[in-house]
Amino acid sequence: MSFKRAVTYSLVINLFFLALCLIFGDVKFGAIDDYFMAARLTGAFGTDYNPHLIFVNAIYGYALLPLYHLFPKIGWYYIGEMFSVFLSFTVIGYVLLQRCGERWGAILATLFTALFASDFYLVVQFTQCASILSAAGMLLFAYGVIKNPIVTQRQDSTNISTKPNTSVTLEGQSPDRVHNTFFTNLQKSTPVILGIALMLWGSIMRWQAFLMGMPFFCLGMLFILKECWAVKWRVITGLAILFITAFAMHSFDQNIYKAPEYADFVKFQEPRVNLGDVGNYNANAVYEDAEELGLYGNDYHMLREWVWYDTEIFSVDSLKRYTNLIPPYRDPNPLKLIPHKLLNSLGKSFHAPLFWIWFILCILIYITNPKKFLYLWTSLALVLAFMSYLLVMGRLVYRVESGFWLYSAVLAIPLLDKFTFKIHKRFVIAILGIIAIANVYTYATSGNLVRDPTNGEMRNLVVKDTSDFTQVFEYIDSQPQKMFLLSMDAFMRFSHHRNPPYIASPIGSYRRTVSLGYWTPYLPEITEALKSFGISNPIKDIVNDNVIVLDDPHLVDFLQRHHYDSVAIDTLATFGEMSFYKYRLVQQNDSLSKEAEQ
Amino acid sequence: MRSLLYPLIASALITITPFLATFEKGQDIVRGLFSYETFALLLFIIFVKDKIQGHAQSSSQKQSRPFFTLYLILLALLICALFAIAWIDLQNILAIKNRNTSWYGLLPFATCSLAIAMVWQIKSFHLRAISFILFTTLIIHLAAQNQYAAQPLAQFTTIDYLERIAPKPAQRKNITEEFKNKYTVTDSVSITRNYIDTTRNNVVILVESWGIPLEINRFEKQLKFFNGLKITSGIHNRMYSRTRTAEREDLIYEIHRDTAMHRDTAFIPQHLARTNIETTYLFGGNIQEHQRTKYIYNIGFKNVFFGDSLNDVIIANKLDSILTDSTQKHFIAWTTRDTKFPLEGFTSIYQSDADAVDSAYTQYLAQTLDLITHLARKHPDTRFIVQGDHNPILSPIKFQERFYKRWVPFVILN
Repeated sequence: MSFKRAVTYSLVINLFFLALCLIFGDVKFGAIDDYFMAARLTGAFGTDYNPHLIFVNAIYGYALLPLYHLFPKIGWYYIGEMFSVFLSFTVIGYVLLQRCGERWGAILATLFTALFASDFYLVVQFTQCASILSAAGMLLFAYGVIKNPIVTQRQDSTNISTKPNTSVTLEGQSPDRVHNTFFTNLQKSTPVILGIALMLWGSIMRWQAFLMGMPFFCLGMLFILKECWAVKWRVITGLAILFITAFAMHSFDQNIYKAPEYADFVKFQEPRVNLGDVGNYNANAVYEDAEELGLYGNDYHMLREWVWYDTEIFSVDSLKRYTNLIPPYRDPNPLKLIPHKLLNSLGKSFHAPLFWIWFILCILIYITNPKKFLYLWTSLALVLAFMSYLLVMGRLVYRVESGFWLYSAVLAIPLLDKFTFKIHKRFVIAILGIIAIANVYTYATSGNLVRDPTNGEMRNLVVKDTSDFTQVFEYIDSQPQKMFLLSMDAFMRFSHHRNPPYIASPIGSYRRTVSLGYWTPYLPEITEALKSFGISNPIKDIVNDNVIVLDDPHLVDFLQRHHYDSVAIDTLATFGEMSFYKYRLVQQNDSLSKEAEQ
Repeated sequence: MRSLLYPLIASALITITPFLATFEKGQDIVRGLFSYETFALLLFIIFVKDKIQGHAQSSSQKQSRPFFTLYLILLALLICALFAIAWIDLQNILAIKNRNTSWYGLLPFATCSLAIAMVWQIKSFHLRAISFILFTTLIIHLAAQNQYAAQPLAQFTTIDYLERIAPKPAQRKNITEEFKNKYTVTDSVSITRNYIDTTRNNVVILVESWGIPLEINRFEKQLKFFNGLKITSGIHNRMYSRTRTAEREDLIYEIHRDTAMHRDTAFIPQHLARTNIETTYLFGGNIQEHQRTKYIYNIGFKNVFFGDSLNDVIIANKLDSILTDSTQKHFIAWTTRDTKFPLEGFTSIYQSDADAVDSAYTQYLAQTLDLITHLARKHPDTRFIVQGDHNPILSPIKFQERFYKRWVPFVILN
């Protein structure tokens, strides 16, 4: 199949599904983290663009900067992620078409995209972008290796035989021919080069997801070892470039956060993750031990609710006193129970469309290329090994699990051989038609339903919320002299209402709305913004005249426990579920005089 | 087709026979139709058997002899494995039903022999085909289970076995019958109120970290300290393992709602304040400990005494001197602190040696209980109400696991 034809087919298929998702789906980030990373990039927290994206390599931020300078209104972060998914799908579709021929390839590519489109386009987030980019990169790399191994081998052997008089041949060659050989060589290496580029992009989007794919990549390469050997120098150079560049880029990104301005932020991350993200332990026992130790159980509850922007009471050292209580109470995970749990989670994987793609491809390998049948078991074993590792850690979630299936499914593609079973063209068109109509129907009726990235259940991303956020934003904008401190929940809801992902959050748009929780506390620009309002310790300074609190009326006890004798709270305004509050100190004299009056 | 069906039926025979042999009316055991492992083993047995037969037919060649022996060994191993799986499968089902092996032990030998005989004449699949069959069987089983969980297709004997023998944490939530037969076991939160006797002196003692050990002997040994005294003893439940909660809970007189339905609690010292009984609270530690400043005064004691870090002996002496004052009646509440964790002399809360912690704890607790006994002997007219505040926490997990969760003793003396 010609290059042009395969690319066109793949583009048409993917454009169709992209259009379906955009028209009928709910265009949102799959993770709120992405929204706030994009906001950080566009300088929403501070006063200027900031490409340091915390979880995504800063190189992505730097790469997008020129686009932001050219068209500052557009949410390039989102568009970049959508494009990465589109590109990866197109690449996978292209390779499927090339490997399986026009007819089977068209069916498989359509099926592949149909099963994945919603999981990726409508829940687009950096981890998944990283997985799909890496997977597409690996596939392209492997495809480059197996593309025409026999031809290359023959060329190699002719090269070897003509080696003694290479110089003569070179001299004998016309400059045009030298150019041609270089050009054809380059052309042959293009898939490998592009594959490396995609994998590198994947490593930028999320380092861990890229690393997670590496064992699968190794497995896939092992199954085409003979072909790798035929082009060994290309493979070795490619892999060397891949790893050196990937590690270099990763360490570049890591070094950014070694700067002194990030010291507070970085130190805070460990306790934040332990208190906010880790859940597989007996929290009640920790609460009681904290109390027994003379710490505050209620503070621990607040921390578990992600309320922690008090630089004194919740300083890193004092948080460690709480987090130190956690490890002994981790849920026990006896090794003997792992096989049983593994079988259960394997059963649950059946709800993931990625699993079925892997299964179908495995069956196709068995049918077309029975010599490689071991791939069924080895890839399954690798997935199970990863799953048991995560089970032991207690952190097996849908988006990670589907990453495993994605890698093992995609790396099955190079092992497919020629389809000998002919299929009639009309039949192909009929199947494609059915898939297309069925998808149009499902997207039109339930396009806003997506799989939850954590548990894989179908749900929509809309937060049930009766509040009128335009009023909330108007209220905030009408008081430019005030700083607003938000509960994490309110802060996260802002991400659904402030601006759609394809529009950039304007510079400074979040400067006066600081979250008491989440991962944003201690970011340099946020510390700076707070400082400019005279706030050094957000929760303590909540009683300052220029501070208004949104959606957190439960801080009185905490303030009285640690900072002040007596604190009162007034409700300033309420819009639906969102209420603005003013905390104020109650003067002892006031209360005395009031008592006297009574 | 026969090559597939016969092993399937044979493995079903091995799996279902013990199930049927132990079947009782009304039992509800979810069990697969055939054991996945025996199915796999049978397929391999046929495969190896065919290889051996192939070799036997062309036995003239010398080269094949080592392979021939190898295959024979392999066949023997596979058959042993088949017996082993069948045996484990039987044991699994007997374990569920709590039965001994007895004559059932013969079943695996019978069914396995029959199974091998059944498949002996079958032609083998190619190795790749076997792999493919096993792979799809696994997937079909899992897919079917997702649809209809009540009747799984395959049974995973070894996985069930591993699950069965996995260490299970000791049951610490419910008090066993053994305790219930010997002691009063109650959910009551009003032990103090029920046993208080306003016609004489009352001492309410909250013993720090005094829980109910899982071993009844250990508890009985603790109660022996009170030998010779008039004693009522039992076990009661706590909602939380918090000293602060226990301290307040034990002094509750009544909980009522005002006209606006706000809940309010009246405490015994508040109630006694109306009489001429002198109420005193004693604690050897600092007033800041467990935020006692926030509540102890609201409970309504006339006298409140905090040491800065006084041990139980000193407070017991103080209590003794108060009780010797016979000019008026007393109500005294005392929270002990010698057995408070982390115990003195242990640097690490969780990493210390559980046995060392245990023996230190036992010793400290014995001292405190002994002090109480002395007081009770010296003041036979005074009512002593002694309770634990919570089971030991904030200590090595292995040690914590020797006690029931949220159950504490109560002892009424004199």
